[in-house]
Amino acid sequence: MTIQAHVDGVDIQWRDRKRYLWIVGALVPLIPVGMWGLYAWTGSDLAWYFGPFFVFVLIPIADLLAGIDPDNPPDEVIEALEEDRYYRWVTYAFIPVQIAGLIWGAYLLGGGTLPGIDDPLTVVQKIGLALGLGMVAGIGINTAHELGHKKEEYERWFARVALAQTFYGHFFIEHNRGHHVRVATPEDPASGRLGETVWEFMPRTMWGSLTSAWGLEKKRFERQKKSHWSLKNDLFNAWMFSVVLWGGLTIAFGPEILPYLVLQAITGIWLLESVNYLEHYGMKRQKLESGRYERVNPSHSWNSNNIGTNVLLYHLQRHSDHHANPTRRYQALRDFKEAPVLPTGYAGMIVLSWVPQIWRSVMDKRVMRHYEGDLSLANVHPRTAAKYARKYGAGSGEKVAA
Amino acid sequence: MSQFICPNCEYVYDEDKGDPREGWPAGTPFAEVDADWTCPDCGVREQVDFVPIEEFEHNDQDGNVIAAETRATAQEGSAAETRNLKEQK
Repeated sequence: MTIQAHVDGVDIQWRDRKRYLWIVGALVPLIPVGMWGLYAWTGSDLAWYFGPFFVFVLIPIADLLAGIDPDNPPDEVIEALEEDRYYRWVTYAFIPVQIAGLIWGAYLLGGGTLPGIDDPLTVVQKIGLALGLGMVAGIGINTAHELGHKKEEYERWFARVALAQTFYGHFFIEHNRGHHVRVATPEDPASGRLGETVWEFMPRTMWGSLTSAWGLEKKRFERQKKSHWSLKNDLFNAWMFSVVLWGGLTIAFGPEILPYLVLQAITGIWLLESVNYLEHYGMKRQKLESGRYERVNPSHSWNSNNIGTNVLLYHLQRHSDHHANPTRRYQALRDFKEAPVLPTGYAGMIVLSWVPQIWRSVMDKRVMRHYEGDLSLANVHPRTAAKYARKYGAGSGEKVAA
Repeated sequence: MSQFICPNCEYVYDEDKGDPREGWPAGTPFAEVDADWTCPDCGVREQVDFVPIEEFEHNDQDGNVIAAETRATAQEGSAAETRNLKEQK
């Protein structure tokens, strides 16, 4: 379908070639259900591990094969494109499928049987299923991310529902009012630092984001001169969705599902935080004379135009435009030609992050090239600062001043 | 009473209405809003960045930084960054 705009007496037309591909996102939560068919067909335990296989093998391969998609909507049609309500319905559709998939999974985790699944799942099979549910949970945080940024109040409530599965309701507070404010600065818990491994980043971002979200809501209530111990506190009302969802599943399918619920939540959170780690790895905004940080600009985020991960994550990889215009809807996000680009899509990059030596050998030289060899411009992890200064030189900061 | 607009996402602070959810009761002059208060919609502009609504023309990102289609292609990120910094200073 063609999007049209009439600007300055000229009709501009643009056809969105990804329009119907976005539906793929809403089908992702069906992956655990698909494993049912795979298991009934093959009878193999491995069928229950299809979730991680899909995210860490199939998607990276699809990214490598399908190549990149630098297609941008012209500026003139952006507004019309954002107003096309089809696109938002595609994101809303994710949520009921996500919840239904989780209920289905919890039924099996509680020892249920189905045609083709004659016996209750073994522990090995349940762990695979929980990892698969966790993949959906992580991608669900991405859906919540898209919705939580929007101005419409009901979309922010949808975001809370999508976060219920991971008990990560505080994310949409911290992300919007914390991460976006401090992105690519040493103060941001959710921006990866040069030399930091993903494994040390995880506890820093999880704890730092939680305490930051807590502080943000507390401050808001202090301005209102009210107590933040209230269901109007967005942290509590978001977590309530998790209490209801997890509580309902536990009552329905038994407390033995709880360890698996925790496992799938950790998997989902870990997926999301891995993306946080790589999105701004090593990037630093410089301090201006006024003491404020320079504005976020396209140079502060890692981007990717790999179409596989982009369709799966609602253009999240067009991350520079997202940080420039956080409320802009995914279909209208553009590729910035001058923004730094990752060697492959986010899914493949997560795989690289597992082995810090490989991660550093791929990424550190890119960060240094980005800053023209000036280490002082990068966001260096304090633990590795001395080592990096020996390797690359301390840097002078002059390249910016010049 | 005046209105002030976020130059990024076009959220409007109306002094008549304030923003009680954010802790600014109706009638709070914009000058009394904390300088580091961030826009409740986009989060990337602070009180000091807001402009009186009558002075607002277009989203400051679209006007300055983006215009993706008109820009030269395949520039080095670092070169562009240096340029952006100079523009800001």
